[in-house]
Amino acid sequence: MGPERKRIIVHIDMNSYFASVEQASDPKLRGKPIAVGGGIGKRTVVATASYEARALGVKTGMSTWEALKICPKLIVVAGDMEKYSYTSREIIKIFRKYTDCVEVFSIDEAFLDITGTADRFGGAKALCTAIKDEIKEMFRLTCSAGIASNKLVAKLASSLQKPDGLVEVTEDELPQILEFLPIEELCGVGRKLKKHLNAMGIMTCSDLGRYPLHKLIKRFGKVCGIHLSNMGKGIDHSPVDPKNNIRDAKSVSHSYTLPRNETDPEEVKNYLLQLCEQVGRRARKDGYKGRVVRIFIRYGDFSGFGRQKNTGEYVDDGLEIYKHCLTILTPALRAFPSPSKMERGRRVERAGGEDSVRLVGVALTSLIKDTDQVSFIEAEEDKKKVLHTVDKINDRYGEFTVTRASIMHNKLQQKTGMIPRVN
Amino acid sequence: MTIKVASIFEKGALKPVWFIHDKRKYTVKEICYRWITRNGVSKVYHFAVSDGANTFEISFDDKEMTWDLKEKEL
Repeated sequence: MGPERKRIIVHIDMNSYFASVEQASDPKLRGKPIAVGGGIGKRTVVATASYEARALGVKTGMSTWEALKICPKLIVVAGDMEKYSYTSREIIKIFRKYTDCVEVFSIDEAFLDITGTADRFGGAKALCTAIKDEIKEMFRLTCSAGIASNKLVAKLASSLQKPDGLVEVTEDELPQILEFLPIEELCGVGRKLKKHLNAMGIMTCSDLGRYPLHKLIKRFGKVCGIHLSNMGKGIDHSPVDPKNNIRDAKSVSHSYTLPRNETDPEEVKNYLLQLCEQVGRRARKDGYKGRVVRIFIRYGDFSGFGRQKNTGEYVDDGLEIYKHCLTILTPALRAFPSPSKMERGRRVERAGGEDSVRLVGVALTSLIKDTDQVSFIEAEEDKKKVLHTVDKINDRYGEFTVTRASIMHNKLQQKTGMIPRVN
Repeated sequence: MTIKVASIFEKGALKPVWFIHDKRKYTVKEICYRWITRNGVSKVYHFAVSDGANTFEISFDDKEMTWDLKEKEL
């Protein structure tokens, strides 16, 4: 038996994806600073900024008004998730021409395992160049590709050259790259973990790799400690998973900042139902059920609250999630303007906005994988069949093709942002 | 809004050639982008097109057999 073949893993990251799609769609936007968000004049944030806008200080996540303050010439374009989802699905089809082992990581990123196919296309770099050229020709979009022997380093590699990059990191080159790379550049190290690691004197990836393993285990537990130590050394054994089975979700959640501060409790409940439907849909899509429902509300004065409830049974039906949410929301929600505050049928909002709701969020936690057990209660089985049928219709014809009548015209429906699935 | 569009089929794909909007005829000089969405049973073919000066988004609904022009939100 010969030595185990070293893997060839590619990470593809579309450059400034939403903004690039909009620039490809409109010649007048090309070469200009643009930001894609919810549109101008609304409470929106920058979802993506073009490279021209980034050079002028515009950052993802910035509020639109702040971005316009920094860059008055910024052109703000309303996002079109259907366009981006369609493009993403077509790009994934391109990947599948080169390997069937494709893991869709997000709407604009994917991992490819080309170990078995690279030779057929002239090697890893030639394969990646072919993919980049095809995407450029079809959509006028660029991407950065990173090649390495595992997913962690491949993702690192793709971030080293943007836009339109192609970087291969070999095992010999890896120590040099990790030496001064800040710890937060590693996929999986977010703000909170970075803070903990920095407090331990771990600033760079090589610091993490050299840190005593027993101390990492003591601090983070055996599994996380070993995982972090491996990350610091650029070691990652996780396979490219085409069905995304391996990632275990801890929760499924959705939240929404309302277009305007809302004082009508029925409107708030309407948005809540929509969010519960989205949570239920995503949970079913990923094969989960949950037993704890959590809601969070932010008021117009930016105060807020969060409450959770153990439902007593595992649920994945949006309506069931909503009913549980109502039992915790109704007593906890501040009273909306009393009749004495109504003037000629118009609600009077206090200056601070503390009577109004700005953001609604729902999460389903304590998840288990749905074992699809048959229920002995006929009504339950009928409900499962209805949900399954509705999901199949929405899979085929688009999100919210079939939906609850009370939320049919809810503007939230245009902003699902779900990762596209290729059939 | 519904508009009148002249289109051809080329290499298996639908291609708008000109359209009438606000009593003016626009000749499509470039199809900048194409994408497809679903609206119930309808398949909707979207095109971002340019006449050299302006960009428009027009779409064809294959069940209703109508072309629509979408106002761009900037």
